[in-house]
Amino acid sequence: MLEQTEADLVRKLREGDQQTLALVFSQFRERLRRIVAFRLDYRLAGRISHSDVLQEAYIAAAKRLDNFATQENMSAFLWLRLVVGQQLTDVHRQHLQAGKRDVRKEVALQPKGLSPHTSVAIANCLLDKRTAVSEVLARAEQLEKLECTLNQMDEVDREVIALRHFEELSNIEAARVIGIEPAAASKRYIRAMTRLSDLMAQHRW
Amino acid sequence: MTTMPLTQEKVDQIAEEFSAAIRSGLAPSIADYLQMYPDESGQLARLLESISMIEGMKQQFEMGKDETTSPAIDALDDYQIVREIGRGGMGIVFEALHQSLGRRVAIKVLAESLLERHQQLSRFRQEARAAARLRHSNIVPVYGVGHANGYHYYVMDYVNGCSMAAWLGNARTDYANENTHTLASRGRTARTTSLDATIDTLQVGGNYSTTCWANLKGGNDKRPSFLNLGASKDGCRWIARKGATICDALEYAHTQGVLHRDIKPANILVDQANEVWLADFGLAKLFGQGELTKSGDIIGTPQYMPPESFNGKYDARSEVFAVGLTLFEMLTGRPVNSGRSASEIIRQALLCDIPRPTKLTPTIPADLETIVLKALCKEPEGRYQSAGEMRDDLLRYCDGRAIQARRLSSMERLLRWTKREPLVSSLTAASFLLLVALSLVSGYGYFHVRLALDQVEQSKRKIEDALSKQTAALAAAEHERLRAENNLQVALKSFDHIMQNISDRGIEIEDEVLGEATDTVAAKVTQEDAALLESLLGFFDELSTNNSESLLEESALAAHRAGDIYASLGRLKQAEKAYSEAKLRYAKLNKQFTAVDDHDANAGHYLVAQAQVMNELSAVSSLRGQLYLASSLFEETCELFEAHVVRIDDAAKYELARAYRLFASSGTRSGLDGLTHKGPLERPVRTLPPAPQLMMLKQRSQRERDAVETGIALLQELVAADQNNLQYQAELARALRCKAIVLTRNRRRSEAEEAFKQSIAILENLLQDNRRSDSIRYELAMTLVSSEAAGLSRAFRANRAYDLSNQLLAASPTVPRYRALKALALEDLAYSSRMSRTEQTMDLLDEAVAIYEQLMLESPELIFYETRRAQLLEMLADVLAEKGETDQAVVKLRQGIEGLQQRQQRLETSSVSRLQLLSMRQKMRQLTLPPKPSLQ
Repeated sequence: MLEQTEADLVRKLREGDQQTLALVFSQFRERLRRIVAFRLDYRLAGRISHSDVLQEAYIAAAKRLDNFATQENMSAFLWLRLVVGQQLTDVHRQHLQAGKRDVRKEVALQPKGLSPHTSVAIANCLLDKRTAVSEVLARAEQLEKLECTLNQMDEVDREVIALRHFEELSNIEAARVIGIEPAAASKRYIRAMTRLSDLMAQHRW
Repeated sequence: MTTMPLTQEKVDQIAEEFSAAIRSGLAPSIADYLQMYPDESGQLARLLESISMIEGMKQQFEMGKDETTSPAIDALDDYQIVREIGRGGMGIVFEALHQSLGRRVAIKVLAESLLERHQQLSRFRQEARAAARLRHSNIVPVYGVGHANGYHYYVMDYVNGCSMAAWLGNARTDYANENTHTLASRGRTARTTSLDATIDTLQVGGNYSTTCWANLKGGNDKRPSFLNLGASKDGCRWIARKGATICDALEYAHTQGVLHRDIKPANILVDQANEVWLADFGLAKLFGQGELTKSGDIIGTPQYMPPESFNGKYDARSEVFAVGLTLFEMLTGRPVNSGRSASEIIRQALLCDIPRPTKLTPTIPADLETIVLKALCKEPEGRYQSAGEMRDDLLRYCDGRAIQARRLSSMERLLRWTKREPLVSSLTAASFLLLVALSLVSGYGYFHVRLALDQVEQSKRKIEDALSKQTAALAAAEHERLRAENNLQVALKSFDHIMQNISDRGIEIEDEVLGEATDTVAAKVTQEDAALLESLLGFFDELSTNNSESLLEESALAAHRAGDIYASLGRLKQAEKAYSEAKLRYAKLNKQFTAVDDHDANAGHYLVAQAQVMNELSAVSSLRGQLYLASSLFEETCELFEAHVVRIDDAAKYELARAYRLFASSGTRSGLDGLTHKGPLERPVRTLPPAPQLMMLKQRSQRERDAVETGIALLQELVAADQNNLQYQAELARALRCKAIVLTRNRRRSEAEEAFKQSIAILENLLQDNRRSDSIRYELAMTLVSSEAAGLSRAFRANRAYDLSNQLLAASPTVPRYRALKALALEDLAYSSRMSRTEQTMDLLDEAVAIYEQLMLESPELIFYETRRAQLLEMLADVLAEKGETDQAVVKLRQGIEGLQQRQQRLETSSVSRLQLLSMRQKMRQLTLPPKPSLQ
């Protein structure tokens, strides 16, 4: 029955039903927000709220709903994800590349006090692990190695990991986004993850 | 049981299941999964490990990213919500009306999104319990705790006023602006992305600060305008009184077993009567009931956390530190820790020294500054041991009584500083953490790939490329900085190590007090130590350019000590270089102080340090025979003190006296007229044809006499004021000895004898009381070998000096200055025995020559030894010539001449050695000339 509903919704969407869009968007809102949180450049974190990006993305989706009708093989979520991605691109371009409002310049020229946000994020993060800071910090070096490891990986492999863990897509969705077969995506995913584990083991993770 | 290998599909399915479990908040165990799905290849295990790691990291990150939503609450139980006042890390604070009592209260509601987390909920309840127990006139009373509509809340008194943070400085304006922006964009309810925005910053309305001030103006407590609170005496008193009140409240809470755990300006409220209230025992933890907050947990606002808390330690003294930070901020209008990122904050908290408040607001009274700095000591042991102690000292300051805190000497500061090393290691890692979190989670790389996959136009991509390159460059820069930090850590460690070495095995304390650096020899301190110290200079300098003044100070100190070590090892050139470096740095430190600071303790300290280094430099220069340099240094020192007459204290006077004495004795130190007698050939150097240097020396003699007299007068003042100070007495004895030598040279024998007698009397006296002091023994022997004191025969003095030198050598056989002393004593003995026993005289002289030759091997730089050796050889030649053994005499003279000539060829020469060379060549000519035909 759920399948049916899903199919129904998609059909209505393809017909350009704005109310369905609102419904579907709100269904996926949390997942989309996570994508925004993940993809939004940290330098913009202070001035752009995730909700604002989602709001704009929603408006864009509403305007371009006819585009969805042409994407026959695409699920509603992946299409919305695409719209959100476009929105993020615009935001980054607008804020990080426009000379006038260059965030980096502002950072350099007007050092502000610490954003309480970051401090609590760190403190909370430490709190939550219930470990002494020294322990957490001791792991930091290995975190750096993780980053290096990730950077050494094939771009597609890395993207698979990002999609499946930071955007929390299923294998099928991830495969669709990348444009390869699900089996191939799965293979890449498992291979990349085991390799990651091996590499981290070398660093006594 | 054998198992089928898992298919790829199955493995992927398990991975999704496992990921979903972690995301839903369960903590699935990898072992359980492996039991469920046996996999011999080990692939699954590795896959799950990776998942668990990535998801774990993501959760850590997302926790901070969550936007908390403001609960739309109208009422809780009997409380009618009026408005949101603000939020803290733990929850949101509302103004509310207790309907049945008609009382205005403040209600703190635990943030909705945090409710699920058991740990925080427990802490919330505990906080309320702890706070409710406290009854103090300056602690916001807690009325009760409740649970309604799914919200946990507690009720406290409503304080009509604002937080201390609202007064302070620019950051507040920023917050207010941000706040206005948020309000405008989001409508009625005040919201921000910040979890930690404090009560003051989030009051509804952008013009909050103004209202707050309007409200407060009617207060009866006289408070100066806040913009220059620390700039006026009244302002400082007011702050001190408020600080005392806060301490009093804390002391009470501590005696009740409650720590506040989050003291900062934002948690200190000021009501309309200008009374301060300690609010939000928000993270309070009951002593002895620490199951919830295990010792490893970090609680608090990083900017206001004491260094030890980053290592999981926190006690009443940590709260003293936090009060110190608050007072600092009140006095200067600036937070101590101005780090802009978490890593920077942690770095600052652990590594950087607390700046002196007067640096920012010069008018802060020294006593108040001392109190604040004591509270802000990085090590808990150095702080007030309780809030009560701090309160008492603050009250003493307010009443104009003497405070108990004292300023740290530079050595103490240095020691503390180097002991911080263990913390430094964790700090580097902290920066890494941030770096990785940012680069991974901001996902720039991923974003880039996604753009490509989404087939965004090529142009955009190019820009992205450029951008990510910039990001990479930034990351590389950050990496470099971290490497520098690592290096600093190594540098600090070595510095600590060397200083420890020096104090452990090298320079005995009494030598530091009584001896002179250039005379002091620490046999076991090696050249490597000095070289290491020198290599550290670079680090300190680099860091001091963008760090704190204190690093410049350490750098100066390192150079100073390196100079001491080189000097004591006889490496005079290197010593000169190191001292010059130290001088430059101290001069720089001194420049930071204007005339206004003349009474500043640190200004005085640097002045003395600079003078001290210049004195060492002058001593080294004269040892190297560079009299001109030595005398220009002397003039420079005089000018330095003249420029800062106001700053001259006893320590400065002492250095000035030393400068005078060093100037007056520079001739002696260089080996010229080193002793009052000049060998058996009664033809002193000064009767030689006048060389230009000699002219200069003659002109100098009056100045030398004046200088030594001035120095002695200064020292007598010092000794009169502080009769127990051995250092002053020893220096006075040295100065008297110097005076005697100068006077002898000027043929004023009776006056000279008087000075000798005084010098000997002082030293004998000192030795009586300090039998074990080698320095005094050494000084006494030195005076004895240089003296012609009446009433003491030369033989007696020589014997005494010889005995003393043997005593010294018995204890420290390798110390060069003791060996040189023995040579001098031998020379004296030889002189006194010359008339009667020629053989013995020659043996004594030979032994002395041998000592000098050995010393020359060890310290080839010291021309002094070469010159002394030449003088002895000349004496030997005289004795031999008298005996009629002209050939032997010529051999001796040739030895001496050759040594000096070699020096001259290598340009290692001094006016003194040139004079000696002249004298010996003349003698050589006389001896080798064919006997004059008799006129008769």
